[in-house]
Amino acid sequence: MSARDTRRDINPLFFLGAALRSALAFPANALPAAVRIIVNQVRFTAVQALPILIVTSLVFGIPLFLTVAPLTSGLGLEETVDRVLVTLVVQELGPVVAALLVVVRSGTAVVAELATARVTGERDALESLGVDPLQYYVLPRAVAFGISVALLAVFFDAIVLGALALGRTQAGGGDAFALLLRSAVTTGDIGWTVLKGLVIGAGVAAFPAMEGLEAGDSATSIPVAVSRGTLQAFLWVLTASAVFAGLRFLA
Amino acid sequence: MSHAIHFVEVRAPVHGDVMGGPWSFTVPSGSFLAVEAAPSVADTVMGLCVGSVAPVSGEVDILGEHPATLLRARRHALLRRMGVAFQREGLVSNLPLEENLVLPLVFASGYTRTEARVEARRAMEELGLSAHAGRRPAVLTREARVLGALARAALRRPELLILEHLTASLPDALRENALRWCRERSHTMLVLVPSPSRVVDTLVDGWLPRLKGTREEGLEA
Repeated sequence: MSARDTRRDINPLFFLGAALRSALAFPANALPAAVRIIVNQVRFTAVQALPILIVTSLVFGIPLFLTVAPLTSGLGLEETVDRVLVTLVVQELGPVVAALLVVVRSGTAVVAELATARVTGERDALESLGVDPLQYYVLPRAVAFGISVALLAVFFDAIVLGALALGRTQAGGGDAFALLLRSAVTTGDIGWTVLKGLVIGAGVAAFPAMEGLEAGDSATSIPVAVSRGTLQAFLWVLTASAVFAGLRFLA
Repeated sequence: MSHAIHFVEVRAPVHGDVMGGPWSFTVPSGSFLAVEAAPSVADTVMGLCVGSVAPVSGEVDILGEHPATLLRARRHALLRRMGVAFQREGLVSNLPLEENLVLPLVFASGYTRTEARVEARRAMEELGLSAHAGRRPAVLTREARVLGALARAALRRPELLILEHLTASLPDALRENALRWCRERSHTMLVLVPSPSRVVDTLVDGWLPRLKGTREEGLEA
């Protein structure tokens, strides 16, 4: 057993600091290569996830309407409840559900890939040639995940709100719901959703990547890294979402 | 600088907590030397040279720096002056061979992608790897992977090139050509071998004393 078999404990703050320094020192000549990595990752993380996102959105949206509609019928509360639902979906559910989908589908893949790269010596070989692992493995994926979560959040919101609108239309209140959407969802709301998606998405890439890069040298380190990285990403999504909600409340 | 590598009474773990060493040797700048070392000893020595393993005692000097003591950015700057190829090749599994050669040139040596591809293609042609340019490591022969790892390490003409046991599995003629090719591209070169080799003997300027481990765990002292 070599001295590098065991996983190195990581302080996330040190990792964040190292990642920021690596980002600032990113070689300009490598930007086209990084863009290619980003595009490929967005294709895998966002584009190929659209079918399951559509299903997830409908699974969320339809029961939401079916549950709420009977409660509000006859009480004259449709507009109030709809406004709450729209705000909840756009500001909270969209980014969180999109981020969790990315954690499950792509975050696990990233940590498995990076842990495998560590076990096979690929990561060490690259770093020994002066390639910064954070610049090659982590930063492009963080950007790609941020873009992907933001895109998927907007899609989720559109599909769920569309399902709600369809339900209201069938119940005879389609025009009122359309008016409510226009007043409840502002450009600022969409911008906030996108920003939230970008930040949460970057973290969804960073935590699994951190665990993968610092996994041990044996094959049994891979599932351990996947488990730890996925859990940390999951907690990050919930924590960051709460922080954003707090900031919005205070703003 | 008169030396490229300078080990002074270095001890480091070679097998769990089993200590190897003490090792003391110097690789003069501009020389091509070989040294015999068991696989676990070679693994530790490589780690000491690139700074991923810190010596328990003694001093490791690589191109005037102590790798294990350097901060990240400074350590990467040192590694960019070197070329290193480990026994496990370490080619990126999801990239074709050509992209494996291009990657360090772009991310660590300031080449544009176009320049890097020209260099990579020239190297592959010289080493007989052109037919494998678009293939991923998993479908390559062991020989092609070894030559690819060597090309990746020597491509940017490093000040110091260190090879760990990598060429031992190659046929003699291929091994000789590969080592000559690497030598032409590096100012100083050190080859770690698992056992004495006639091929290596005809190419090097000399041999360092054998790097010993300990009597435990089958490491010969």
